[in-house]
Amino acid sequence: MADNRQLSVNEMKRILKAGGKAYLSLGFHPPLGFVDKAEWEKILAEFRVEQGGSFQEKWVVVSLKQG
Amino acid sequence: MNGREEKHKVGQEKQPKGQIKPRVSGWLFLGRPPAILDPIRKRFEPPQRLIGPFVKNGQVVADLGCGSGYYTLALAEVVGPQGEVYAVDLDRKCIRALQKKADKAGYRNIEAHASSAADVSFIKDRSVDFVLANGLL
Repeated sequence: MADNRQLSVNEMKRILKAGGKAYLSLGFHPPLGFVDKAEWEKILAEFRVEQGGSFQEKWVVVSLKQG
Repeated sequence: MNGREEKHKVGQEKQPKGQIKPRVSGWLFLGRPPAILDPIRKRFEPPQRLIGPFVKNGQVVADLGCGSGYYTLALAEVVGPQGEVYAVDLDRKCIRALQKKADKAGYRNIEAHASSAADVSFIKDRSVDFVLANGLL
């Protein structure tokens, strides 16, 4: 994952409350966007997926993983 | 009850209940549309549809990649005076435009920063109920 995106994900995890949620979405698919399917799945793996998550739909609602 | 309080009440009543699919379909643009098209965007992508199921009065929320504040103002409306909205975008012009809109609308609960989402150190650890990163990645 690109450094800036990893840092952004880290910041989201840092600021979210334990019961908080985050809505993430992609602006574009490659080649116009930067996040490919592998990176999308890597991002999702950092959270607990609450809703969505399909790479084609480009959005997901996540919360922090327990523990 | 003044106009602002009435707007808050209306906003709360309109919050959809239960789980809905927040992704907006039918929008003509693949990415974030320009602010000038906000009135049209509201017809196809009403902000309440996305934030309604997740955001409540009094909460602290962060809008990362807020642009000129299409969702930020709606978030400020829903969280109300007891809540707080952190709005973050790299583009200083967008942040200035957002601040103008917020001032005009009388919102005092928006803290706007021209910054990367990779460094939001001005937001405390474990302090945010909802993060909106729409089109950020």
